[in-house]
Amino acid sequence: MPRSRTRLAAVLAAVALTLAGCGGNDSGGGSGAGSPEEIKVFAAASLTAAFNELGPRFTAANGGTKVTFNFAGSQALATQIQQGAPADVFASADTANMDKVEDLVGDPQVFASNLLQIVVEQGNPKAIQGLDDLADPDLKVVLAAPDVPAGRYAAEILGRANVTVKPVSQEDNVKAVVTKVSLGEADAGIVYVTDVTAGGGKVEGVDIPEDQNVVATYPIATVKASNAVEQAQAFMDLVRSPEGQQVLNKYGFLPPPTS
Amino acid sequence: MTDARRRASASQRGGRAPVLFVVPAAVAVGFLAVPLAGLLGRTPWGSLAAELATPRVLEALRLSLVCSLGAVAVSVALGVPLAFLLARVDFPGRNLVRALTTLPMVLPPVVGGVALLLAFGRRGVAGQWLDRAFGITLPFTTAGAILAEAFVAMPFLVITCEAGLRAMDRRFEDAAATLGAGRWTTLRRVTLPLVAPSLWAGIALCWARALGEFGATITFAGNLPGVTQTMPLAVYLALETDLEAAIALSLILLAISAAVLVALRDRWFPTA
Amino acid sequence: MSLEAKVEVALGRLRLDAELAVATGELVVLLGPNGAGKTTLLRALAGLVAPDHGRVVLDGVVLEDTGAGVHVATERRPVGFVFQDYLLFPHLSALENVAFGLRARGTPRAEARRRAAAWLERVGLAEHARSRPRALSGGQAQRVALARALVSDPRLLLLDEPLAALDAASRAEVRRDLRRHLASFDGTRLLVTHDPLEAIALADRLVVLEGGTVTQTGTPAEVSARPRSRYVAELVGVNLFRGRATGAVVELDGGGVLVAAGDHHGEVFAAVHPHAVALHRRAPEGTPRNVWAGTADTLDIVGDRVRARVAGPVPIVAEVTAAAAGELRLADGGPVWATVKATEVTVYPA
Repeated sequence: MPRSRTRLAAVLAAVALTLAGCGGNDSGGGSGAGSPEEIKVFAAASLTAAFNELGPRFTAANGGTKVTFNFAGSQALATQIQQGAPADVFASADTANMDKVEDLVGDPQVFASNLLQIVVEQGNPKAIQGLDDLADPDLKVVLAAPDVPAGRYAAEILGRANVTVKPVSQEDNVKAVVTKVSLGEADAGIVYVTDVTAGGGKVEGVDIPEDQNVVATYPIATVKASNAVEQAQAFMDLVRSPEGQQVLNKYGFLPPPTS
Repeated sequence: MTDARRRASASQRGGRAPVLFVVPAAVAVGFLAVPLAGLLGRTPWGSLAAELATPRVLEALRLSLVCSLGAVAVSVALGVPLAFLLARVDFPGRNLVRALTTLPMVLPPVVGGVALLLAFGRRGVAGQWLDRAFGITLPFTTAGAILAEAFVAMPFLVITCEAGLRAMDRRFEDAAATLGAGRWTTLRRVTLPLVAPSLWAGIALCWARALGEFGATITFAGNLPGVTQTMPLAVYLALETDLEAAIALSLILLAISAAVLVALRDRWFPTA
Repeated sequence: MSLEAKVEVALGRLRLDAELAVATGELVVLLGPNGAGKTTLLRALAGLVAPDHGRVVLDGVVLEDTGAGVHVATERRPVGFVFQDYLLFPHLSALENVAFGLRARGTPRAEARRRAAAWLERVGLAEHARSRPRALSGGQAQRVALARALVSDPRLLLLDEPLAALDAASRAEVRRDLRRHLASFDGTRLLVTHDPLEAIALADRLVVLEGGTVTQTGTPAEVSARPRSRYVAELVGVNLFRGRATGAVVELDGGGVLVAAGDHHGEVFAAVHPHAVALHRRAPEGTPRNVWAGTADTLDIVGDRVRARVAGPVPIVAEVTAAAAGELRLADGGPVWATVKATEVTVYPA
């Protein structure tokens, strides 16, 4: 066989193997993110507005350390952390997803709670009064997917109210539910109270009776693999501080349940 | 063999690899091969059969086939005539139309989905009218998923067909005419058989693209198992919670893509 | 039964303006250099090109009349066309190719195949009925193309350079076959070629087309004997001059004078065959009326003859034997005397 061709094949094989060797390890170890100048916060989608306000405050109070946020459904964030994504802080919309990564994070602390609401278009054109109306087969109802915290809460609520709803779509994060309603594509959805507030003038909320509603608890924790643990802890502290609580409150969050 | 002779015979056979290109080429191969190797390496081969038989996976598979084939049907029905016009008729604005046809190929799929919403959503430019006049809404329906897939996949069919038509020697159609064949007969018995290879290649590409479509589908048609949750959407969602199911679905998509490539190999990699 | 056509077409740089008549039974060959418009003319007769002005009448039926707005579509013309590279449908077998014209016009499949098979038999290709065109040799493909064109009994058969795609070796044999097949066809036949050998071998009548216009028509003999253009003259290998004759003297357009036998007046052509030109190294004496001195430049060897171009007051090509050329030492150049007998100068009206 011509020497040049074997040589070529050998080089290609070597490079391919090297790259494979450099590939990710699979036990969720991964390398942490952020030089001390920057930290990455993975947070549930419903925390978008509140955390975006806390970010600059944190930077100002912490010698210029920048914060970048990754907002998504908590289930997606948990999986990403398991796969080794570089996060320094994780704030989830439910305890189940925090439990999923309990080996990878420090002690979680609940920092807020949230109630859910029915979201409809501004002006409530379909005159929805309560959960029962959502069972109307002519209504287009959108829910978060069952694995998303908001989706799980919604299922629980509907179960308590004994209402069967056939959603036309299952979105993979709660913000997408709001979007579909505000675009007029869907008539109603079940989201957090904070999402209705954040939705501005495009949407309004219809209350869910207290005995049927669910209290969503939001835990926050630092990620063990982080290499900015000090700063991560500082962010977590800010969120739990009176200042942080005030900001959360402004956006409609409730204080952590006392129990 | 002397050095000079070896060099000479190597260049006769097609050249020694220029060393400068070997390393980047090797990196390219690695770049393309490693993700595939990763997928195959992490496949839970033991439980694969069980995964593939779960209702969720089967549902997504069935829906994907229905929607992708539906998208191909739409693309053929609308795209082949368009390809003909682009190839044969010099109409005003032809270049504009051709640019328009290729637009979905370069548009990010999610942007395509947004555009479809603004056009065919319940409040959309055309969607409003469809709703008022016929009571038809497309978002959240399987038809909507088919539309989204057709939107991104049709350009592949049109482009490939048009190229095939242009490459064809039109004098065959002259010959058919001298033999008494009218336009329809010529089309049926001469033109279409002659461009059939391009047509099939276009269909294969169109189908593969439709099968893999995600961004436009999830944005426009939504995500509901059994109605609009095609395989790519199922993979995306499964990824967040059930990695094994995600891998199983990915494997199926990979196998289909590979099959399409193998079927097309003579067109894309013609061997002398 | 016949063809009458007058066609004007402007296509790219070609300005075709030709008039043509073909009687039944006569095989007319359209001869001309490349780019003359021969193929365009054929395509216009077949209806593949719509002329800017023109009229085509076949067997009394008007196929084209731009004045009256008549244009019969190609598929409705009783015309058979054999294309330059045959254009056999590559996805059909030889049999299906031949059957195509019948099926296209409504003949049921079984009967079409039967008739097609009979034709393939006639052209000697019965055992290749199932072959694809790419498996056939040039000569075989040509016969299939011919059968395909003839199977529906056209009234006009058009052949566009039917032998051009063949190699020299097969050409002669295929030409003989073609002549035979054409002879047995009873409709009107028009064949196009740029090969003079082909033209002379096949034609009952020649029509010479140059630069879009007909420059000459006649039997091959007539055309060769009296070429009316440089192109034909070169084909035939004759020295051709134009001039003004008074009695026996022709004053040539390019300067110089030729003395011919006979009495002519007005604008004329004067033709001198190269073998009628004698060359001498010294000023000759004798009867030839045309004598002049010149220098022999270009020499061409044609078989065992040598053609020498003699530059002088009357530039002329002489043909001598190789031996003579050797004796005269033509290759060394130098002055040479050319003589032509007046009786060898053919003069005819221009």
